[in-house]
Amino acid sequence: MEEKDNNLFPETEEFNPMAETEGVAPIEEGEKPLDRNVRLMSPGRMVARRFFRSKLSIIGLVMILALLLFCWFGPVFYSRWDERIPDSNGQIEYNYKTFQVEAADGTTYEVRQVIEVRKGTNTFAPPGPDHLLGTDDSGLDVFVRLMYGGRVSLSISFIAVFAITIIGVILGGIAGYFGGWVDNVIMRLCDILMCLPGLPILLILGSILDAMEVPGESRIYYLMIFLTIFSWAGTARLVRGQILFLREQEYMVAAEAMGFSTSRKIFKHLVPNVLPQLIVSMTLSLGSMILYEASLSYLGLGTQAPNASWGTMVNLTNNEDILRNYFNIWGPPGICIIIAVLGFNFVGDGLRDALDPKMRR
Amino acid sequence: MNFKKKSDDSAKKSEKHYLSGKEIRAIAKENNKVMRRLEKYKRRKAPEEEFLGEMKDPADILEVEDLHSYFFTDQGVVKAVNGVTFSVPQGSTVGIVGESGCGKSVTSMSIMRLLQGPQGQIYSGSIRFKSYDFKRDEKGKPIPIWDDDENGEPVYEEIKDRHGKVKLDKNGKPLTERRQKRDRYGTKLYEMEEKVFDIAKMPTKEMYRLRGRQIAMIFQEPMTSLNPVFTIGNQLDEVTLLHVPGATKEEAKRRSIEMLNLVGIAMPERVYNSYPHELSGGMRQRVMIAMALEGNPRLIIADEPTTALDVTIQAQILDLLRGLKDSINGSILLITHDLGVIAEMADYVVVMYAGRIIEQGTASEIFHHPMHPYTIGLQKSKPTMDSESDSLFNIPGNVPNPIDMPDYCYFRERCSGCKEMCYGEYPKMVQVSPTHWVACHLYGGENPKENADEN
Amino acid sequence: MRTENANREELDFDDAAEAVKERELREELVREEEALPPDPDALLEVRHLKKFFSLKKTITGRTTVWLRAVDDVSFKLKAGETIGIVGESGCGKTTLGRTVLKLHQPTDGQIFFEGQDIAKFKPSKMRGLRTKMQIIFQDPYSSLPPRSTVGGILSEPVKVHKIVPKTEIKDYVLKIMEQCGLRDYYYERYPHEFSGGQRQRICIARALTVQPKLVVCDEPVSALDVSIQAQIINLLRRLQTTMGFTYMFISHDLSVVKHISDRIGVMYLGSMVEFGDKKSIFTNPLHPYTQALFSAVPNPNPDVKMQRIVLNGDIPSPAHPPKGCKFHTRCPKAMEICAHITPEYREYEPGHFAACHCYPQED
Repeated sequence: MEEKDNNLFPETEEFNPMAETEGVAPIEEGEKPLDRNVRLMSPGRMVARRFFRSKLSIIGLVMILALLLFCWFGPVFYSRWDERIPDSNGQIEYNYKTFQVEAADGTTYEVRQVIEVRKGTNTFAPPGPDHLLGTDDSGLDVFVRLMYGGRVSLSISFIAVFAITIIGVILGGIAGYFGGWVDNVIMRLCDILMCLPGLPILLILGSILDAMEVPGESRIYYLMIFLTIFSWAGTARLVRGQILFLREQEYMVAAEAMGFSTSRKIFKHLVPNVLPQLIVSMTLSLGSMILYEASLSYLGLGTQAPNASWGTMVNLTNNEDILRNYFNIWGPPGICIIIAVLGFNFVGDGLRDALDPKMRR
Repeated sequence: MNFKKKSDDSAKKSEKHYLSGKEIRAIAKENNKVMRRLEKYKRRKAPEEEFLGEMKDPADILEVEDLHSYFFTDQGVVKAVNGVTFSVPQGSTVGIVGESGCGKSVTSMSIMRLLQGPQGQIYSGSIRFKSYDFKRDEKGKPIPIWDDDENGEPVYEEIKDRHGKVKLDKNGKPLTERRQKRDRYGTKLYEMEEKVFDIAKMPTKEMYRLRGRQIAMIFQEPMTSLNPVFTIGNQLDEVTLLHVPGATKEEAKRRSIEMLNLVGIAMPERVYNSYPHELSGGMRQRVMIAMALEGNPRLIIADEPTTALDVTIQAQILDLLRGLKDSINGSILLITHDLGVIAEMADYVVVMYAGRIIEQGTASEIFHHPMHPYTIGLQKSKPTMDSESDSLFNIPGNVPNPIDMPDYCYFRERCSGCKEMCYGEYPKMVQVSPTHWVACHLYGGENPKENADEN
Repeated sequence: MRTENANREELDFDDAAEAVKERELREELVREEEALPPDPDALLEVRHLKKFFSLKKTITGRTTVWLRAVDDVSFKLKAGETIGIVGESGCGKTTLGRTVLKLHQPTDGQIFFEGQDIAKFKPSKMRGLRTKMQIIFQDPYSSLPPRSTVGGILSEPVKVHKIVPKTEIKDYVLKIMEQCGLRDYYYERYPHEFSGGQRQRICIARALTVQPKLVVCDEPVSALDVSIQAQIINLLRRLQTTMGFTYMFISHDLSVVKHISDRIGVMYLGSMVEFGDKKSIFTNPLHPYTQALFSAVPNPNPDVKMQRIVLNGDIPSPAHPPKGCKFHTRCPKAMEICAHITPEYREYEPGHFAACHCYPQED
């Protein structure tokens, strides 16, 4: 066999198990054919394999990809209607008025005057070839607004989550690494922020924005900034806990013994090891950010008509007539919100299983 | 140009080193098929006759024959135990020794049927265990032994509930029942019978008959094997209440304290009422041993019982285990990587390497006349207290990864006595004395005895 | 010996004033000793090193309960020698190793490294010295960063400390890998793909990259298999002869320590109870704890049933060590005096120190 050449012990040597193999240089001990024929999974493959093992995470991934494609590429292919311009091709309606006319002979005639009404906007159109999901009370195409609204909802939650993560990593990292009074100050700040009731404060801020007459397009961004300021505490705690754990690991002690500088220890050794947990928490909080945006818009604090977002679209249910009779107006955005939140949660759970080193087999 | 070539090379290398996606999928598909079949087999309902067997040697209490326990991982099938055959004679201590990953713990887990499914499965083979179980009537109830008076007349006594109070009937009169014989701890006695179970064939649900009651296990980590939220007494009593039908709390407590006494705990009453975190490591290991004794087991599996303990505490525990074996009339299957511990404790030694037994024999045979190069190397590579040599003997290389093992001696690459024959198939077990077996080509020749004498 | 012990027993130990006096006397001795210049022969000299951890604090931040992990330990270590530190879990041997490297800030005492007292060095000043002292850990699984390749792990210290020019880093690292028995194509692999023994080799290689003088080995082989242990021990010894390392070898395994060390220190509950040459310690162990420790090691010979000294009870908690001699609760030779007076750490033979009341005091 071909291994014959690799045999380290020439046949001339008599077998004597008691003989001291003195001076066996360690390089000769290392790799042997037996070691070489074993093939492992690369780290990336291992993560992918664990992620795709769960059916739910695949479903989640498909849901999110479908939504992203729908929102960003949908308007390119379906450009018949615009987000903010109502459908002006309203149908002609005929109404009549009834007059009582007294003739000269004293008899009373009933006269009906036919009035032709040409409506300027096509409101409450049923789903059909013209409007795939119909139009709403102001004649805007629901399907197109769904796509544009999705862009707003998704991008805002992405921005908010990134902002939260950046603030959380910096503050949590500082608190965890340095400890002492710095840790104390930052963590008490977190405690205070976590005590504050988020929604009422946002309601107050919303009305302040109202009073300051902030234009509807930009106020959702203001709200997202406030939201970020109020919700970085959770991420900071996660990062701090993780760093406290990692700091005790022996490879961090080894880095200290190597005399590495503080910044190198934080950015080269700690942060890459916090990343997996961070990615999981980011994915999971994407879902909750979408919900936050939707509920704020629903309460009339976020995006305002005619700008679309899923929350604003669901907001139309304030009108009882729409809630009862026009499912095609408020149903689809609601379903979109559910799909997005579920999708992000599924993917987050899948990532957690895939990236958690304790799950390693 | 140069750069490009380099990157090509490294890509090739890593491709060779790692599995491709196609291979991973093929492995997963194959694994799923086998795992599903074995899981179904474990869950099946089977009449008792199906897993009853016969011992080959009536003096044995446990016989493991050609046991294969596999782990179906994403990277391939790990044959953790690959055709292991050994037996534990009644009243003796058998030590399994080997390095990490040699399959010694998986063997013990297979005997307890505690392999983590669906990945870990007993693939084939048999584990015959001679159990001493309650004789049962047609309804499956154990038959009690009655404590009659001299004339053979039945004696009646009041029934007590779990809290030791006398049970009353509707009229307020105490309920009575026929008096049953009790052992010295006050536990009720039942008629017993010997049965030989094939553990590998038993459905998982039937295992409750053996686990804890007939076979008990002592684990390596006394810190994690006790439940931190219950008192020691609570956890000890539970075993009696579970395994002895009709035991009251009082009886259980009496028995628990008796057991704590037996394992050499000075103040059993105090330990009985304390929580695991209040005890030191050595004390916890004693409690674990007491818990193992509670079910009156015939076989105790001690899986690295002293590895997590300090030397001085280890000496205490080993002393205790040695004394216990005689007082309970049981057998011990001792699993450890420490040759010193094995030498002190075991009557018979089984040496394992990469999922197979490479040598087995009595303790003095293994320690005075080791035959397999691995056993020899293992003994020489451990520095001893009286050795004076400057450089240690070492076995080169690493323990092989047990995925996709080829069919030749697994020790070939690390062996200093490698011969032409070693490139052939895996060596068979060769008998060199009535009790001494070795799996090595060096002794497989026509005249194995002569070879053995040379060393 | 007997009469002197009997005399001492008669003393009134409850006399608090005497205890205070005794303490003051000792402190004075320590202060005198502190002023002495470091031994020029020793690479490392540790004098009265203490490391306490605070367990309980009042609201104002004053500590009420101290864990005395290292309590007044002194020893000298010559260049090129190996000192073995033995003891059971919780005896403070790991803390001692880390405090000597200033990975923990010592509470009190002096650490002379190459004649400089590094105990009071600031972290920034220590950073320059880090290349001269390295540590190898017990657990080869948690001591390597999981998300870097072997090459990355080994070349990082070289880069940071600018040991060789940038272009030669890879060659330098490969050379060190070869010295430690690692194949060159391991360079691009991740730590999790290796077995324990190979990882420990990587750890040794990492310590080697900065060319240290002192290497603290904190139980480097106790997590490894027996056959791999021998490989690592041989590797460490070979490196010592070729590179002239000085080792501080911490382990609970007496036979390993005996094999590798020139001098041995036995620790119990934070204190050094015995220290001396390997030969004198093994032929003539003075302290009862050392004797019990030696006899507890299992003998791999089934026919020799040793008469061993089995100690009673468990190791007391280092947060509440017993008064007097810390070992008196388990000591088979305990006397009355042991429960009250801490025995002095004295030199009984040249280079052989012990702290026990069993032996006569030459006043």
